[in-house]
Amino acid sequence: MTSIHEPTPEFERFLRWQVTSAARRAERFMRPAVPTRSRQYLRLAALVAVSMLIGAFGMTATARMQESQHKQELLSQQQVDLRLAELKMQAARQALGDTQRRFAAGTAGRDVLDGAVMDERLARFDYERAKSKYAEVLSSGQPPREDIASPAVSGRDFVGERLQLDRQSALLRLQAAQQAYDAVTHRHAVGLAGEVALFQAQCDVENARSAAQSLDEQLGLRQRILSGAITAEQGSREWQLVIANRELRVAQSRLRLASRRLDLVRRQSATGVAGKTDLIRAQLDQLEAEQEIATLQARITKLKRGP
Amino acid sequence: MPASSVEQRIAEVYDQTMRRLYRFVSRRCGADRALVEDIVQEVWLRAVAAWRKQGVPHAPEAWLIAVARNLVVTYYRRQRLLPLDANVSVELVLTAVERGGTESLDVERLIHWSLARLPERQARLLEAFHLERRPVAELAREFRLSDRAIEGRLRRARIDLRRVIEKATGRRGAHHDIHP
Repeated sequence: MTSIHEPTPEFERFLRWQVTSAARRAERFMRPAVPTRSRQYLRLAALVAVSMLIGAFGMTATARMQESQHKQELLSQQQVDLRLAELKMQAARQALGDTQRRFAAGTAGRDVLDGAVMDERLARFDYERAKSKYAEVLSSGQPPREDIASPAVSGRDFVGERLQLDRQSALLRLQAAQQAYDAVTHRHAVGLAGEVALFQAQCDVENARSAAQSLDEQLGLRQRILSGAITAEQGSREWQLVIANRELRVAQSRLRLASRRLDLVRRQSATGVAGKTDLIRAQLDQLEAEQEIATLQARITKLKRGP
Repeated sequence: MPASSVEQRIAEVYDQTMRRLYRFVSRRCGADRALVEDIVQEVWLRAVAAWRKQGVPHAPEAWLIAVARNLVVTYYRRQRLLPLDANVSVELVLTAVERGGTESLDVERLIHWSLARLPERQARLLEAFHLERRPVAELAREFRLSDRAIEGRLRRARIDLRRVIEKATGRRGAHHDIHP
């Protein structure tokens, strides 16, 4: 008995016949006719040329229809993303307008207004990003690509455009992290924020700076790939290295934070403020961060060694 | 008359790959024989049309599988979800993904119906990792990303898959992630 995931012998035989006969017919009809007399040859040649033209037109039309259908499906997907990004941007604008009015009336603080301004700008970058992806599908008929070694499409560097937008978003986040750090520093100075909160804010700034720096590196790499200074393969490897280095910096920052937290929990544990579970959790955090760093370092060494 | 080299090569590839291609499609279509036969036939007719012009590719099976995958996705995107048995829960579907497959044809169809609604790369990643059991390192090379980036994308893809399944079934599952 045939299993449910196996073809029936009849279908297998039928399709084999269909495939081989289709291949054979194609081979046969592609062969030119042998002329016996010049007039007959000319007539045949004209007939063959007309048939080939009709055939070629038919084939091209079919291929174009399939391509066009595929492209339409991709465009519909991107249109949904674009519409969503547009709605989010409109919502962020609306929220900013409300916050500006509350700020003017004195019911919202400067930090709330700054947050709303940042959300609106980030939403705008996301919208621009979605627009760039839509334009790429429109030009290439293929899904938008995000890998650093992708070629430019019709002379336009979509990957580079999106990296620029990501960089601008990262710079905004850095600015926000810096402002948050300043606020925590102030609260710490007056005794309203603890040492760990201060250190956490410092780590956030480091991570945001690292993200922006990584995007600068990726943009430089993209330029080198497009100018032909390095091959796509070399570029991909260097890109992985840039990403891994960024992840390493984040992990190192996480380790520093985990160590600080562990010190604090140890002190609190000695005075009975923190329990044994808190201590174990803090130790685990530190161990995890150490393990992550070791893994990343091994990967970076491997990437540097090359294939 | 002896067969030409392309014709002969196509026949060879057919004999070597037909059953694997059929199984690949059948697992994604819940063993719906009429549908599977239509898709397999369409794949092969497209192969003959393309290969007689460009020659047989270096990896013909990968070519056939890629075309079959696209046809399956196109099919599912146009289909409404059929009513499900009352005991098909979100958790049951997610566990089936985690285990790389299921005996239930309904669940199998639901998995592929849902995957067809995810962005192409996300669906491809989930399929490669969970259903084809390919290691992260191999996927990192294929997708040109770091291992950690692949893990992150897999995590996000699983969340999106859960959302699609919850929306489609109108049932909510307990919160748990799928683990390899």
